[in-house]
Amino acid sequence: MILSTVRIEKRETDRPIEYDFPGWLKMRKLREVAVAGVGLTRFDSYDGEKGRPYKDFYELGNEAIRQALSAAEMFWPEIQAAFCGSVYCGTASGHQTIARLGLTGIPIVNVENACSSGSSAFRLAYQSVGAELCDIAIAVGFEKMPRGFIASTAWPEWQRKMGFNVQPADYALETVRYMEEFGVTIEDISMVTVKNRRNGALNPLARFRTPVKIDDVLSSRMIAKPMRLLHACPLADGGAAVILCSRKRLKSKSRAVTVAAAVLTSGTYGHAKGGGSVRVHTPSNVEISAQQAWDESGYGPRDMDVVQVYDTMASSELWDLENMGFCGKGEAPRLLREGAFDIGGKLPVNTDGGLMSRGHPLGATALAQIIEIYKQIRGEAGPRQVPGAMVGLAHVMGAGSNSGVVILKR
Amino acid sequence: MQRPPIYYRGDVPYAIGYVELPEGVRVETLFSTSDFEQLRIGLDVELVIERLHEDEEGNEVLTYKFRPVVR
Repeated sequence: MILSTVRIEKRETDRPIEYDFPGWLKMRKLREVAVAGVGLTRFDSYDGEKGRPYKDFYELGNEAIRQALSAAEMFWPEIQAAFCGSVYCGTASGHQTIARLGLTGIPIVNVENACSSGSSAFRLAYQSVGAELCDIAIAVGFEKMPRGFIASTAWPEWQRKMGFNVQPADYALETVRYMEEFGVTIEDISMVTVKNRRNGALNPLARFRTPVKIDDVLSSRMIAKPMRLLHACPLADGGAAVILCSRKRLKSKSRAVTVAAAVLTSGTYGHAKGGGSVRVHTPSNVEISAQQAWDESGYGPRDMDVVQVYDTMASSELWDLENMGFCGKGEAPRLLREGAFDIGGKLPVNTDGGLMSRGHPLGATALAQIIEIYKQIRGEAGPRQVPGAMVGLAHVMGAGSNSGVVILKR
Repeated sequence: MQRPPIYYRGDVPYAIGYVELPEGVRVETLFSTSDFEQLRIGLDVELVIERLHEDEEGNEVLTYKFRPVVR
């Protein structure tokens, strides 16, 4: 596997040193795992103000779990393990959520992995069923978001006092580099918001359901040059749940959806947030996670019918598509302009409006992406349905860094 | 950044970025300049020690920054 090689340039005249990380060895093959049912609340601000209902995280999580149970035709006591993703809900938040469903004594594990918490919870549930530790497990994600810039504690205090590690600023730095390297314009990047908000208008569960024009994006308030307010995804509260089980335990076997891959990787030395040296050339977190997902599933980028990509800032959708191998480096803006990523395009991306329309409840976001893939390949996506979709991929990033990739197939 | 994030008590707006040292090490840093428009990839910069902010007891908290080299 090419990606298991790290190249280090000592000096320009020296030959690069190559070595392998044994930790990148392939995972053991798991048994087939099916999606039994999914549940998703509308993502919104549940703050009780301006006529909006007040709901706490455990109510949102609970609502999603009940929907998933109903869809799976299961009762809570059948669930054998629960993995609950959240970031800002405090200690034992999964336990608080589940206490309102039934105290059945099952293992509940709270998963905090920043914005990728939901994907990480999904992967743990998948592994539990896949490794035959249990037959039915649930992945839950919920969040009641603090308002304003997210106070990330993912880096040391002195860095926060220096004004580093502010998400829009971090993405602004990467965006400046991306624009310079590939001649990408801010108009190109703004088109991501335009596309995703157009898709979001077709999603009744999205926080924002009105399309925006490119001029709206370009005239919105500057946050961190060159990123403006409408280049950033909005915050939201919400809950999501996915029940996974062995094929045998599926109540309804028609149009069964199974997990083709569930991958999680962390950062590599030599990239901005991995610290280090400009002379160390390692594959990025996203590249490694995509390669592992291709290896695990036996699919490649060309096999995907529909894709959800982490559009926390508009520009990240573009370079993540490139880094996962859906197109060459610097090619995504042109494909976006040509409509390739539209619903009805060659590779529909963020069909439910993405983070840009849905809003971003950290613990629930990745599960909402996975649920959109599930709905698409079940043919249940309504007006935003990609005709004939059979295989799809959901990708999420998280501070740390984390990169999570899930592939579902029918 | 146009507005101060939580924990940061220095001047706003402020500029951050990465500086590549001759040895190949990459450093995240604040930039000391009032002219943000001049900041671009490839610009030569030099190290300075400057005030970051004042703490609760009125002490100056110092930090490293980089500033554009004037030629």
